Amino acid sequence: MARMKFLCDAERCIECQACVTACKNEHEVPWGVNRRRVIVMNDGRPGEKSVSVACMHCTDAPCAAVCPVDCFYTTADGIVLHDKDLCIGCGYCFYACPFGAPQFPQQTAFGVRGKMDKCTFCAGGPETAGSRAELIKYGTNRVAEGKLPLCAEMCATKALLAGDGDIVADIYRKRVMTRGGRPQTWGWQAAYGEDA
Amino acid sequence: MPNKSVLALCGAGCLFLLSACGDVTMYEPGVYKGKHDETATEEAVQQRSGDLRERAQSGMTDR
Repeated sequence: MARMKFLCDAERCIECQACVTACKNEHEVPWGVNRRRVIVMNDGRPGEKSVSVACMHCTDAPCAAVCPVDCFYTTADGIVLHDKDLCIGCGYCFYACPFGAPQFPQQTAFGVRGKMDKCTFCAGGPETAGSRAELIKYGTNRVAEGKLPLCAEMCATKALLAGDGDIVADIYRKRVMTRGGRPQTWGWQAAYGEDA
Repeated sequence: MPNKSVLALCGAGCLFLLSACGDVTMYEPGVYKGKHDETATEEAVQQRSGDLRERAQSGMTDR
């Protein structure tokens, strides 16, 4: 069984924010909610790296583990989705998520939390696929149409990969082989310096 | 001391009221009880996996 995953190749990401724009446009995401963001490390310094982050559709999702109303479910191919009709907007998932994926629209002047919103891997939610209700609550359902998430599909440098984990891993492995080494964006040297 | 039959009747009445007389969703920790998503099932996933695999291989790989 396929297992859907995102992978952002930090060696290729050029911080163009096209993935962010594509996501917002495709799903008509309200102002103040960012399902996807580009994080920049060492901004303006040599060795600057960017990485596009959204919900990583964790295998053992901490958001689902802490949800007091159990509004999360996982599709058979590993996409973590949630039911907005059950969500009470408590924000526990926001604190549990290591990627800051859950988003809460600010509906009033005093910032009362609304229903949680997050990346759906363009797989909609628990409404009829392609329905108006699904579009309003969760955005478009590209996966049901046999398409992959738009953020990855329109990435100009193909830094953002999405799809079956096996295919994504194969693509990335080939790139690392071609580059002749493991990128040192992450890992021991990046964390502890050259002398470690 | 109230009559036993009155107590039993009260108990039955309370149970009836607490049951909300119909469609009750009982909470179970860790169990999703929201709307059913027909695109999340194994059949739906198997149906689309071929298309998604083909799309990933044609769109994501380096040419």
